[in-house]
Amino acid sequence: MMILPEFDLLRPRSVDEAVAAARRTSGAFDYLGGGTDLLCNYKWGINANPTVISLRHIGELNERQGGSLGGGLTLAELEADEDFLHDFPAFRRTLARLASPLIRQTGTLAGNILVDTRCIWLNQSAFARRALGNCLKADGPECRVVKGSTDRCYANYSGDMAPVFMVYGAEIRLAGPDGERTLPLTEFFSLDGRTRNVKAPEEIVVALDLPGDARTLRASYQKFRVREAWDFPELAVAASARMDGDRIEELSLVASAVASIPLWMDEIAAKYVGRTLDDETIDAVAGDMFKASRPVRATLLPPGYRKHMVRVMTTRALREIRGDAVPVPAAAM
Amino acid sequence: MTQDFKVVGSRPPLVDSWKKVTGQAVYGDDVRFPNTLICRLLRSTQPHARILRIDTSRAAAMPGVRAVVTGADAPARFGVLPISQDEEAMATDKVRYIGDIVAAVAADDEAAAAAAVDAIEVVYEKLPEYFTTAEGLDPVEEPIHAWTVDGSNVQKRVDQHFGDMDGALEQAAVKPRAFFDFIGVGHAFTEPHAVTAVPEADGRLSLYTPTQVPHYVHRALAKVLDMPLHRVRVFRTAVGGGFGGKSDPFPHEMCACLLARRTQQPVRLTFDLEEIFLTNRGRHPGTYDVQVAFDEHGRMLGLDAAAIIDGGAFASFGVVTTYYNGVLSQGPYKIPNFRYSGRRVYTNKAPCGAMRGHGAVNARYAIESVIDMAAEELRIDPIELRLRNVLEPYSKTTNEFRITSNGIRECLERVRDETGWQGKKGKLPLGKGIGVACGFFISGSALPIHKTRTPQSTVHLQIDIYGGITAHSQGAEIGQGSDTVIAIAVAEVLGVPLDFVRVRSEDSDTAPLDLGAYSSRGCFMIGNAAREAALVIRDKLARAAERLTGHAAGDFDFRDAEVFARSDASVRVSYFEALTEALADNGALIAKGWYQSPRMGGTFKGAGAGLAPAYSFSACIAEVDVDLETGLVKCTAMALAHDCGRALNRLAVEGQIEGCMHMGLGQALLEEMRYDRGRITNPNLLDYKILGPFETPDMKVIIVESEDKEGPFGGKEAGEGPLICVLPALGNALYDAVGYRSRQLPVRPERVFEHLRKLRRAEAGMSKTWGATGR
Ligand SMILES: Cc1cc2nc3c(=O)[nH]c(=O)nc-3n(C[C@@H](O)[C@@H](O)[C@H](O)COP(=O)(O)OP(=O)(O)OC[C@H]3O[C@@H](n4cnc5c(N)ncnc54)[C@H](O)[C@@H]3O)c2cc1C
Ligand code: SF4
Repeated sequence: MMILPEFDLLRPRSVDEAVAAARRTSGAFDYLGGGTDLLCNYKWGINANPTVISLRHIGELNERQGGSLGGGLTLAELEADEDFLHDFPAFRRTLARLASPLIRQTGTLAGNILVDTRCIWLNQSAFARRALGNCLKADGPECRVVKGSTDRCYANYSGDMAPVFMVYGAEIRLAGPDGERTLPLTEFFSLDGRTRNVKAPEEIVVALDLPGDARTLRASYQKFRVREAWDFPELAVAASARMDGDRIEELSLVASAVASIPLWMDEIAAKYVGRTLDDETIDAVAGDMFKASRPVRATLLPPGYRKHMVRVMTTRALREIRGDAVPVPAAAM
Repeated sequence: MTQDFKVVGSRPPLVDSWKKVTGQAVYGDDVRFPNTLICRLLRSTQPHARILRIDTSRAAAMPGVRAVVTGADAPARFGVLPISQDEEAMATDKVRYIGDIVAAVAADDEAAAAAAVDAIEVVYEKLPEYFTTAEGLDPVEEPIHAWTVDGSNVQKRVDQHFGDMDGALEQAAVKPRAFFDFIGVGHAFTEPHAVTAVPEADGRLSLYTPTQVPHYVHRALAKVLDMPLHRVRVFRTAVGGGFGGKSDPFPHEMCACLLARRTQQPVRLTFDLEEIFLTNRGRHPGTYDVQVAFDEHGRMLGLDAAAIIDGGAFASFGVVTTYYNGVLSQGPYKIPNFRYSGRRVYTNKAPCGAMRGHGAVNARYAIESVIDMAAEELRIDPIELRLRNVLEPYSKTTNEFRITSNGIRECLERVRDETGWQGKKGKLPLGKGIGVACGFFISGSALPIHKTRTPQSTVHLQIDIYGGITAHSQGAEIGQGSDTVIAIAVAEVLGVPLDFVRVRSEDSDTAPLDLGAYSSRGCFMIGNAAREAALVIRDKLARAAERLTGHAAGDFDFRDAEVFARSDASVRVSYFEALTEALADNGALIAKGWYQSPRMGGTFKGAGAGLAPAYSFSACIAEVDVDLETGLVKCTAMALAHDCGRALNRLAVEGQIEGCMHMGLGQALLEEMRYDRGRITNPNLLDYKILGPFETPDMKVIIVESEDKEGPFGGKEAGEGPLICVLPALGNALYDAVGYRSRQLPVRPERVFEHLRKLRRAEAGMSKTWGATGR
């Protein structure tokens, strides 16, 4: 049987208490949301820490007000919130196709934004890793996927929610030893499969805030993988636009699950502001997204194919924004 | 035989289902005894290496550790087949794959056992590693086992030739040939292997294990533990899925027993998912070179097939698999000329074995694909072509299989008519397709694994004074419904409701011999044995009724817990009256029934392989929808007609057929055991992808009843056969949809995508045109 390693479980009642507890561990701790990601890795013996600080008993993290969503909310709570889904409709399918009902029942929003990067090499049992050797991300000298890399891990960012929040222009609110800070989600992630973002270890994700005018954006999230349920994205594209007739007034693009962070494609998006959202534009954007994505062999499907699928998923996202019917599984609607 | 059944053909839930849905069933890991130790295993991290030294002293001295055993403690070899006993409880001289068991620890708790396992030191000397069959065909530096063919890694060779294959190829109007490559798949059952070994007070040893083959486990335990057979007891717990993956005696079963004997405490061992994949025994990966010959009228002239299958590190059922890959191609068509060469090659990977549709699945995919190619070349509808070639009922195959009941014609006609085939085949737009394929399987192996004249199945019946009937059998209920078959047979014959019958099939101390749940033998053999036993009781009750009424015993019929005269309905006694009379001056009503396959088959070498007292037949139509932009293939609808002789329990037959569709599609579309230098890289159910709810198509089950003359009430198997036609039906539908013949399974979206890209470039040559979605 697979058993959890031993750890001390702390259950603070407030953000301040949690941050203080974290500081006392001098770094050897993890925050725990629903645990649907963290505890899998613990069972596999991947970077387990002796102290786990549960955030489930902190009321502040479960607050919800309009576009402001507490980090402790479960995905199922968001899925059941018709007002939220009505205002930000791209989340409807995203949530319905994320993991499984059971995992959404337990998994939290903050946990999803911070879901660890995944790699076919690393996300294995300790036995399996021992058989062929460890890697840079856990106890090893070098990366096994991009051979020879000793300074960067290429594990895949695999969360479904962040790309959608990014194209809706969300900000992320953090609380840490030095108090609260807020930054655009697009500036939150930073390339490397190990460090993944700019959050200090003790900082807690308190909330995600969606701006009021995001309600008038048209957005789409296109996730690609081989099974509708359970599977993490093999790649995904999120897009949003503010349209003036068929003219693009604002455009946001994210290529996700093709690198260690969701890639904010602001340069590509900027090129197409002012253009008509016609087939030609869609092709051009899709071509640019294709060129800008460089997946590596960290997931099941071959990188070359995933790169091609970035083009297809971009096309579908923009077509959906334009109002075309795009192939989506009926069961997920 | 009267058609007018009361219980047979109804749809009762399985008799053991109440326990399962209420959580009362005791599965392997539910077994609890006081003072139980927990076992963990040390497994090899090397694919192929000599063990130079094992030092267990540090582990043995750790807190909570009660015993550590290694290969030296039980070096006797075992295996499910007497002819290929190449397994050991734990590796002695060398390890043969990543996952091979090297040592076992029993400790007070799981953490202590795990820590001790980590503390065992093993010094290995690396040996040459062999991961492909190709490198093992010729002599190698270090054969994986000592008894391979001529110093290669070939474990088993089969060469068969009937008629004149070269002549058939010469005469042929069309003779498509293709090469196929299949990745290995596992059973992905829900319940992990979980065993408890218990030293009994009288010095006996009991093993509680979710096994499909208690009898073979019993024999292997006695051999490895060096104990007389009667000192061993095997208790089959509830089995949470087997599909062939629990049909070997396993090294871990030996380890738990050795530790229990050493410590004189119960020892429990529960696997995690990864260990299931490491234990494997799944479907062999393999390559197939297949050619089929037809004349211009669409008559099949011959089949030429060569299979090289990848056995992994041990033999398991592999000798049988090597035969089955050829001989099970002998139906459902008349094949006058037939040539087959089969090779099973050891590799340094997890051992392969029997899996649902054993040996017939990949070969069938290859054959049904080339038949489809022939249909296209001949411009004959694929169903019509198949119908022209099916075997007749009560006929013989070229390799002397005795065909009895055979509903293949009806299977094909019904899937054709009930799916609207004629309106769809060749008429669907690009991206949508429809395909057909047939299947053929044994309904129980006619020859037992061990040469013996002991019947293959025996059932004991005992009626108590309250009227309840206890049936004893060692038939391994693994969720397929064999306990229910017993109950149905007995209830039908004795004319009582199903709840009068209790089946006790767990304990080797009380169960009369049955060989277990493999080769789809349960319904046919156990069903017949149960029916025979019930007929004996019925005869006794009829004679009691004769004593009570003065009416001739032979005229009595049994129904609704009443015994009544056929010729005069006013002559009747209740079941209880008859029973009370039968028990008078008698004490007990006890009977046995047994089944033994009749003698059959040819006299040539290997003639016994694939012989069965009856065969099942099936036909499947799949419809697919290919995403033309991504290459993802979705099966949207599937209809499957299966000839099971007679459905003793319609609900169970439907469940089996649906399960077959689901499992077959899983292998066709998603499932694969991936390896990196001998290490399985996806040993979990996130990365090893079984079909999910959204990938499961609309399913239509068609039960065809050909009423086998020797089957119990006419019944035959329904658990494995239906799977076999699923994969090629899907493959043929994919070809119909986009012109892509997938020569590998699973179908990978990236390959379909590449094909579509090429197609797009050569658009001009296509009969179908790209729709609005095409880029
Ligand atoms: C079989 C399976 C399939 C899955 N499929 C998908 C999928 O399709 N798409 C997808 O997006 N995800 C998928 N997941 C991942 C799933 O774990 C996440 O979606 C889930 O939302 C994580 O939330 P959690 O609360 O359980 O996170 P946890 O496991 O509790 O935490 C994850 C990380 O976030 C940190 N953390 C959690 N909360 C906070 C906080 N408030 N502040 C600071 N740090 C915090 C933890 O320390 C940890 O590092 C899948 C998981 C499984 C097991
Ligand atoms: S990308 Fe490289 S370093 Fe990162 S987890 Fe995978 S193998 Fe390890």
